Amino acid sequence: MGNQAGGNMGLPGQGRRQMNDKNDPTQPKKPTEKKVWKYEKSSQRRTNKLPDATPTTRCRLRELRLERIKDHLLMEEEFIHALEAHKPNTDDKQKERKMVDEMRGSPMNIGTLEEMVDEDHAVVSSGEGGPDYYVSIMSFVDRDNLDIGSNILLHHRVHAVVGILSDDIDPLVNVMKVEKAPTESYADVGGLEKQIQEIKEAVELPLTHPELYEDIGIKPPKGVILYGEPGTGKTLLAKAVAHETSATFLRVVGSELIQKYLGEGPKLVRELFKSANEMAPSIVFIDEIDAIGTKRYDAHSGGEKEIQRTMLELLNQLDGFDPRGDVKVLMATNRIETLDPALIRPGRIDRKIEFPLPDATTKKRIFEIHTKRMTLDPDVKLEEIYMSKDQLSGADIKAICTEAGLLALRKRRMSVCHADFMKGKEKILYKKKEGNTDGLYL
Amino acid sequence: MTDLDELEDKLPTLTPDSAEFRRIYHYFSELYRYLPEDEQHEKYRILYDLAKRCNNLPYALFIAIRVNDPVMIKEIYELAPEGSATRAQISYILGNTGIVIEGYESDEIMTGMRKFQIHKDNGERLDITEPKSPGDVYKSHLVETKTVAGLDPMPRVDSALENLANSFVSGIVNAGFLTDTLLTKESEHWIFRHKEAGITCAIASIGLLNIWNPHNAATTMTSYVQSNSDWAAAGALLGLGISTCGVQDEFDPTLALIQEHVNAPEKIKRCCTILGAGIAYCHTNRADLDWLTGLLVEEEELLDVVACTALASGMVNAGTADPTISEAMFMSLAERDANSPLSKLIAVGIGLLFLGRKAECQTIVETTSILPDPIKDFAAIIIQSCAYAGTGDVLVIQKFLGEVAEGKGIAALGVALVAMGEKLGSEMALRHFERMIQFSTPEIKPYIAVGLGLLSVGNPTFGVLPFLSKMTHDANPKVCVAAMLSLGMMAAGTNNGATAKLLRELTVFHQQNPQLTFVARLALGMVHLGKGSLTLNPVCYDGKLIRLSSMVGLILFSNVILTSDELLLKDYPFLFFLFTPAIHPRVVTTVTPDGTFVPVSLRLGQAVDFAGLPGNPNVVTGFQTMKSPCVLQAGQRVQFVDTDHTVVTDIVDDVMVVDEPKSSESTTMLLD
Repeated sequence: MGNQAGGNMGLPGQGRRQMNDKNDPTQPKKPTEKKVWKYEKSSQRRTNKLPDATPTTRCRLRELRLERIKDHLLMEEEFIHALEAHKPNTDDKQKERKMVDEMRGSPMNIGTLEEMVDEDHAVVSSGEGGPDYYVSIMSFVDRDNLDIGSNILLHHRVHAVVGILSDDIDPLVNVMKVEKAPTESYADVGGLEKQIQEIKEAVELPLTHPELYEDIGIKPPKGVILYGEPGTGKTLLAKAVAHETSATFLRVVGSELIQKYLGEGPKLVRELFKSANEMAPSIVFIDEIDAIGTKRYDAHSGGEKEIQRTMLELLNQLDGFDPRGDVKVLMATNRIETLDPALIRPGRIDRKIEFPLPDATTKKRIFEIHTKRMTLDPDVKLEEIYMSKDQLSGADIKAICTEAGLLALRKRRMSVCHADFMKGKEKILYKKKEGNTDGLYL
Repeated sequence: MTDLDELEDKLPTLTPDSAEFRRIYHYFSELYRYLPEDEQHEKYRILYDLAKRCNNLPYALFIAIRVNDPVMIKEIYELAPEGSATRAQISYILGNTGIVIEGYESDEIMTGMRKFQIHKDNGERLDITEPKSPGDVYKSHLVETKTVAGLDPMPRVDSALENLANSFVSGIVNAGFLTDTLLTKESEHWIFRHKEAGITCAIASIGLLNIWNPHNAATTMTSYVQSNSDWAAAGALLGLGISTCGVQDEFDPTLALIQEHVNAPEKIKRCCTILGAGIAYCHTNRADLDWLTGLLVEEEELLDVVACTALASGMVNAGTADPTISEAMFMSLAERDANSPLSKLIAVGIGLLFLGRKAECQTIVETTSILPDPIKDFAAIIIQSCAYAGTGDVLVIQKFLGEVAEGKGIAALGVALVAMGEKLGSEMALRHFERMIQFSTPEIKPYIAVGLGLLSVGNPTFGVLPFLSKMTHDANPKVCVAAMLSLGMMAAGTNNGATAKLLRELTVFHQQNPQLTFVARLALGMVHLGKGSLTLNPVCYDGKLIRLSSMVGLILFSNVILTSDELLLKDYPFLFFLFTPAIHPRVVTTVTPDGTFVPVSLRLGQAVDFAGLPGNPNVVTGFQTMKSPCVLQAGQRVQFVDTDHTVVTDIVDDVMVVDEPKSSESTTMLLD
């Protein structure tokens, strides 16, 4: 906001008087009000969602439930019509709307709001490097939505503020928001009870029951890192969190934060956390954090330096000068030892949750989850498969089940038999070994 | 079509094994909710017979209670052998839902006489017996007073209201724990720091401390009953009524005292005694209270007393649709001042009589057209919403929505009452409320607030909170009051942090208006009802049942909220206690058939809607394994996982009867 001194010079007389009255530029609204407003916006979207009609299989219960929802929607439609009918003079509304459109003119310029002078005047800049203007704000512009730095519409001749371009978040960040929750729930995670509990304590409980922490007198953990061998369920658990939580879930892959131009990566990180804060309570999930979070060393290329700068911005966002409100950070990697120690120090990432390879009972649970929806022959003895000493990850087990199913399909059988599973297992283990010799998992 | 649908025609003759039966039962008991009313009863009957044939008596009982058929309920009760675990479990379920079978009044569990002990034991095991002071609830140390000397006006303090708030909060928060930091510790010294109706409320709050324990209440109250102050005596009588709520003891000390004082010359004493009788014997249909009907038609009687009598009579005879009583109420409603808010309470009384009776209310609803104008619409809508409360009937909701569009706010309350209790319907009703907010006029805003509160009782979700939060900052104090009390009702007994924080901030925000601060404090107290061990939620037993006594309490309390500017906040603060019948424990505990507590492991987690899912799906997700007792939140379910004990039913709420396994076959098999 520092560059406005020049812009304020050539003011019309009326404006100058007002400038003298108020040296301190009035912010359009108090920060507390703003927070309430944002909060509401995000929650409104949540209740607008239609309830799920369970079960998902075709049956009469589903039919009746869907019918019930339909009935309610029809009533809602009728209700809205009735309400609008009771609302007087809709014609006037349209007339007014037309007048506003005329006043706005066409085309409109796009500019940035640099500074609010008072309720009705502001300093705006139009486009890159263009001059700044002191302009009036039309009465029909919603002051509540004006923010320093937001994109606004300017009248093409007098440059008065005639509207707001609401969305000033980087579209890249918007993409990260998980709109459609994944279908995986905690029930789909086999075993990992300890991990689920830890993640709930660290991520979900502080958002839903902050009073528990308040009563004990501790600050809830800010972030969690999940680490462990490939296929042990890190991403699956994150998906389950996204499914179960009522908070906004933002997900990003470490490599997405690496950008072509200098400064773009750190900017993206900033935008990410800014929007997370606005949509609070929210959870930011960064998968494969090792893409940007490796230890710092003497970098030789600009690219490496840029990646390190992106990480430094992340460090600042995690535990920097600005307070982080209801934003929790989840990270996942399978190479925790390569991460920069500053990134995972307590205060930034308070909890480190290890995902070990499953033991026999967990393997059993995973098999049960994957075979629950499968039609099995009575001769299938799962214990034979999971009791063996082979190192199997959760992903391997899923692959075995899929493979067994595919084998049954190939033979045009309606159910999966024990031999399918044994073959599937052999195949998966063989592939795994083969992969290992090639150095895939080195 | 799934295999389950194909079974439907074979249900009357089927005898499936127990696992298969559970699958069938859950599927069809969910399915039949959505059928038209006239088909329901017969289908439920088939399911009931099936449950009986499979010897799963609790499951059959749930159906019997849902269709509200006393003959079926009695049949199940008698089928369970006396002294068995099943009988005990059935008694606990009946006790929880407030049903007493004639001829079995000696069953202590069913008549609620063990309620107090169980609540107290739960408190000890959860370590919450320590009395909580109002200051602890307000968390005064966390409230930022933003007053800058000289700049902002100093907060206005009304010490009488503040004391009253403290008394209420102390009673609500420590409900059922006998002691607190004000009412019992400083006793008379504290109580006589109130004036007039304040004294009444402070003493009645002691009744809340003694809820379900009338004998202990009587020892404290007797001295006040004989007190020279009419206000104190009135409070004691009301308090006795509160402490007797939900307990049916043949020898309870309350009834005698009530009958002795009901004709007292002072208005306040009569009002409180009658309300006390209503609260004490809510939803019991006791014949020895028929003198209430006589009071209704006495022309000399004051409107206040008649309104209280109508409420009391409605409470006692809730859901009976008794024609003599309804006629008497209707007569007095027709004769009295149609503009008075007290007349509205008479209409509510009629509504309660028809609670859950669906189409049976048609005749009386038609006769409301002869009533004078302002009360006419109110009476018609409130009676219908009570009659269809918790049914989710789409046609009624549609009709009410039409009336909301015409500007009749009370119909919004009707929408909420009808949609309550069924998940899908209440979520959709929330959408209707969003539309109402969009187009709302100032007059219907309080009704919207109460409706939102009702739809999420015991379940303070992120969805509803912001709407209510906005209304608590409204310029119209009436809307603020309605929104704040609705917040209290919504979060009652949840200890919900977000709601409590909001209400704390509101005490500061409204510090210029002592009445609004008072209301914010009351709501804050409700959030901590019974230190988080009690709830007002009428939906119980895993969504299988709606507790009618809770419904009564909530209907009364919503009307108290809506008339608060003329009644609750003026001369009738004691109306606040009308929510008492809705209070129920939300702790799950486990006992042996003879009533001794045994800790067992339970899984507590988010409930999965498993009706119609194939295979053997998980019933809870994201669970934690813990030892009983545990506190159940809305939307949560308990799964029994202890291998050393067996249970009678897997639909769990409140008290769960566990038994040692009959033979140790399973364990020996493992050892071999």
